[in-house]
Amino acid sequence: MSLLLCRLEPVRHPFEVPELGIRLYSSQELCYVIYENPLLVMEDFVDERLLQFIREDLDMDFLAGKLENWKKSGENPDNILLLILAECSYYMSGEINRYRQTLIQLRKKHPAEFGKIRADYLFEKRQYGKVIPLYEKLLEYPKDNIVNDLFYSRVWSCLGACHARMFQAEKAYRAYEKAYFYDNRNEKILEQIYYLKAMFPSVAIAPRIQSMLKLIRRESWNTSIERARKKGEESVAVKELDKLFFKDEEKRLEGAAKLVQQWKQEYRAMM
Amino acid sequence: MDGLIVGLDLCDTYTQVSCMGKDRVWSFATQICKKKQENRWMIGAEAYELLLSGEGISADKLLSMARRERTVVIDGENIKGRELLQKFLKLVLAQVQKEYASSRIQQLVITLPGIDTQIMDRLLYCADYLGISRGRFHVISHGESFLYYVLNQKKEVWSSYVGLFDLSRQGLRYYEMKVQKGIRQTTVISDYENFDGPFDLNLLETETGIRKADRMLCSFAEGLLAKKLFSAVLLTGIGFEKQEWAEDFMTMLCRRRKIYGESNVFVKGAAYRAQDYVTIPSEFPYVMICEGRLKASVSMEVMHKEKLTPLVIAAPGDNWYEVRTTLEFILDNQKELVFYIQHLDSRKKNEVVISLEEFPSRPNRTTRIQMRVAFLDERTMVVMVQDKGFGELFPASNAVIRKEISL
Repeated sequence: MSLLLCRLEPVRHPFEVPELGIRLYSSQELCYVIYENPLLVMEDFVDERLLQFIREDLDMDFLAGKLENWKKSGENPDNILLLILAECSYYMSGEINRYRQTLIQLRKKHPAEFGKIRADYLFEKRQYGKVIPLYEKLLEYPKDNIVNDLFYSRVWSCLGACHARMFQAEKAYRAYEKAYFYDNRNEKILEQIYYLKAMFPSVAIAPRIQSMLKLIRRESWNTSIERARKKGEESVAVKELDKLFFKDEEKRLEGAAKLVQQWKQEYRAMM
Repeated sequence: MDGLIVGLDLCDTYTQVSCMGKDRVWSFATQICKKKQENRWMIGAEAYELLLSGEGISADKLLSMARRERTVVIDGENIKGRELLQKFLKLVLAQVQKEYASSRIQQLVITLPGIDTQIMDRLLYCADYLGISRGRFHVISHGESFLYYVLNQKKEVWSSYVGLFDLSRQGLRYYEMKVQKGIRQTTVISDYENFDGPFDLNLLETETGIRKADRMLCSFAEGLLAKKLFSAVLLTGIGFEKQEWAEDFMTMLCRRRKIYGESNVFVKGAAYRAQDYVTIPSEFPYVMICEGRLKASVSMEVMHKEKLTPLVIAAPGDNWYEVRTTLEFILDNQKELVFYIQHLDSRKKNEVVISLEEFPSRPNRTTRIQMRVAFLDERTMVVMVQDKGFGELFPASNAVIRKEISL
């Protein structure tokens, strides 16, 4: 139990973290993001923009200089993150040591496996546009004991999900098809294709896949689709939209403009 | 930086001004006069003449008027007490500035018989009106002026207790000062005691009244001066301008004590204090305990470099009205603020807890709070705690908890 005394930080230009959709206003928030999101910050997080934020807004010129020198020396980049945590005194040394272990464990992983974990993390953060090239890069790894057909299938499946969420139905279907190519016993992939077709009926399904779908009992999938539809209809967002249509023209247009703006922002964030 | 270093003793009946390095002490009735049908305001002799000629309208007791935020009608116009005080102070300072041909006031210290938040507030408005920045404008008590006056005398004057009897139209008050030399620091303490009951200077107009006043003074002084070694006793105020009337009192006082009569103790003390503000380092690096200054320390424990470290919020000797602290903390598994209050004359620390349970529950170390501390008087601290959230990660509720803590 204690109180951490905060230093005065004259932040005029907050540091934007688009992956999290937030801006940071203090060294404590920066440490929190670093600590809670190792997969986000392990690659290229400490760049010129961050150094400028540390130097000018957090008024930590000494730390910025240290980080700059460290970066130039080309030493282990993880140590740069640890240095930030240590200098800001937000986390205790025990916690920083645990964080170091987490970074070591992640770095020990096969590069493809690490890349997949990182891409999955960004997928969870709905950064679909950014994550697609990361998944595509994983497909370039040559086969070995980790990178096998199952791995390729999983990566293609994830690519399918990314495209589907960006409303790119054709690309999504092709990715799922590839995933099924590498793992043709996986009914889950067929299920995803079935859902995709339900969402985008114009998608052309290859005859081979169509015949496979016919062989499977699809009652539970239909139930899921029905449940999702109902959930969608009852969602707050849809109800808000319904309400909007009942308003007079001026208010309706105003509300619609706001909503479209919001959707645009959300879509841009995904990209 | 050049300019006048001014001490100003502001009371309800009189006002005195003195500048460092100058001999003259200016004295005015705390009264302002307006020429009828004209926007001309006057003080001092001019005001008196105007009043006698019947061409002026006056207002007096300006300090009380400003303190109580009273409004008066002068020449058909409603004027607030604060505005009258502003005009009065401007005219007072203008006379001094004119005399010494200096337009800039480098430091102004106003000394008052008593300080509270109301009068502080009004005087700060006056400072703005006079165009004197807060860093160059200070308010101290008569007790503090007394300390600075004495400390600026030869050391033998304050080698033991120093007493001061102040007999003015407001009544009789006794101040006492002692210096405690410690290994780490020297503490200078002054306290005061009011005469129990009225002491009307009109008594001195009749023989019987004089005898009665002398007896009252003697009985008051006997109890206060007994069993103490005094290096000096000072007499000030209009009542002691002549001391012949207090025959018994003077005889009693002069027994093995040095007595000094000085009518300008407070104004000169204020000027010395003003001088000390511009002297770096201070000529008197002592802890001063007197009216208007804190007699206790307030501290908290905070984590610094993974160690619990005391953080002093206010220290003994700080001017209570100048203590304004704003700090930000992050709560680490903590749902309360604990203040440690220690009085100067005690080793015991009292704990005061402010619960923060009202603030929203969030993951550990993601609640930032802003704590603002100020004082309402020497014994009452006000703490305002505001929930600031944790940036955009955990938005602020801006909930505020306010608590008054009695020291």
